[in-house]
Amino acid sequence: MTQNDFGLVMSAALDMGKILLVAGAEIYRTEDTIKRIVSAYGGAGAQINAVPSHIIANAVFEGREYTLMRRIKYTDTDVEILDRLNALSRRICAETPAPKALAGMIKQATDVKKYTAVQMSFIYAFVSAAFTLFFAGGPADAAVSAFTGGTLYWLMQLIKRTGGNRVFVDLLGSAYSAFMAVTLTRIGIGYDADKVIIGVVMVLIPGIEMLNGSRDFIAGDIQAGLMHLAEALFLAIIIAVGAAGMFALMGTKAV
Amino acid sequence: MKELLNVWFLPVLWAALGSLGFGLLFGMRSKKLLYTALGGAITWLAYLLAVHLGLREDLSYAVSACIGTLYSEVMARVHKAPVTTFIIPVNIPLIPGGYLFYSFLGLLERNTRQFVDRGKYALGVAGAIALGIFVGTMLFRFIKEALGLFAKRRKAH
Repeated sequence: MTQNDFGLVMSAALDMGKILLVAGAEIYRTEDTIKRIVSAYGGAGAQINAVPSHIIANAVFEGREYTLMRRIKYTDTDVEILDRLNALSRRICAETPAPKALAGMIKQATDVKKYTAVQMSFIYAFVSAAFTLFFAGGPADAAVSAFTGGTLYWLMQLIKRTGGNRVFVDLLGSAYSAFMAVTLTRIGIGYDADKVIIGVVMVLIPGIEMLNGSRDFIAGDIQAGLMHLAEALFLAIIIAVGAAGMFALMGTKAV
Repeated sequence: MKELLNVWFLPVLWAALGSLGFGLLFGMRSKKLLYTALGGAITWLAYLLAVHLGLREDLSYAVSACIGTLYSEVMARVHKAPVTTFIIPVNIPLIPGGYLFYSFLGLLERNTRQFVDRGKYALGVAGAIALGIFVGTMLFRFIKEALGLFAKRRKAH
């Protein structure tokens, strides 16, 4: 294997790490995967630092140092991709295929069939209704919640398409949920706007980031934990701002 | 009978559907969805039972997260999938998203008491769940090691 080949290996390993983090892998899993691949190809003293926003990796091969970095700007949890990349990383470490083939293998593994937009909107409706019922809402509330959640998905897609980031999506999304919940309840379709909102907001609320942040702390990744937790708190504020702003506009009070 | 339905059966059913929904949101496919829903049900049932038995509330969250994690670890081994893919959706019913939301709503509506109370609760519960998951993972490893040792010893004889 030439030094050039090792460069390809490093590059592929970091690409994989990036896809793993985006798909929702833990910090230690991401670091571990990169380290294993780099070591499997003869990289010495591999050092990896992964945080939610970037990955830096360094390794020595035949006396030369390699340092690469990948920036991560968004997350899109996908357990199917996690599953496949996990299997692929095991395969790569066991078989050490030609470095040139790695990029193609990663591409093939991440080419999963995603749910279509229509399916996703039904999933949003389903989740919203389920949580409205879970938080003790009635069937009418669940129906309102399902409608709001289902249409929320399309609104979010629209905002994303026009270049809105997660902050903007969450802000408008929660304002929209509050608007629909209050309006439909006023018309008399739902009973309890509160139960509707909390059900719909469950698809937006960064509860998973908060949980992952806590898990990072326990795993010893303080930096990642702080970033996850800060993100969670900030997004929670944004979501509350969206809902509270809409309540103020509509002249109602929450809770 | 009605109490059985409203206090036990329905919440557990909705929790299962919530887990199933988040499994779908995370792009999960195939039979795994069914096991995720079952995991959500087990986790929430564990929580309800823990509270029913008089455990402290935060401890109940930790215990049920631990049970959900043990279930997830087993399922991950059975389906040869990374354990996170189960842990997150299975523990979804426990996640204090509602408290987090109401806490910051309180902050904005100058309801300091609501902000502090619910915020404290949300952070405490998130910590308890994380701890439960951690303990569950460690417990699973211990059990696996112990079973491994046991099997080896039997082979030697």
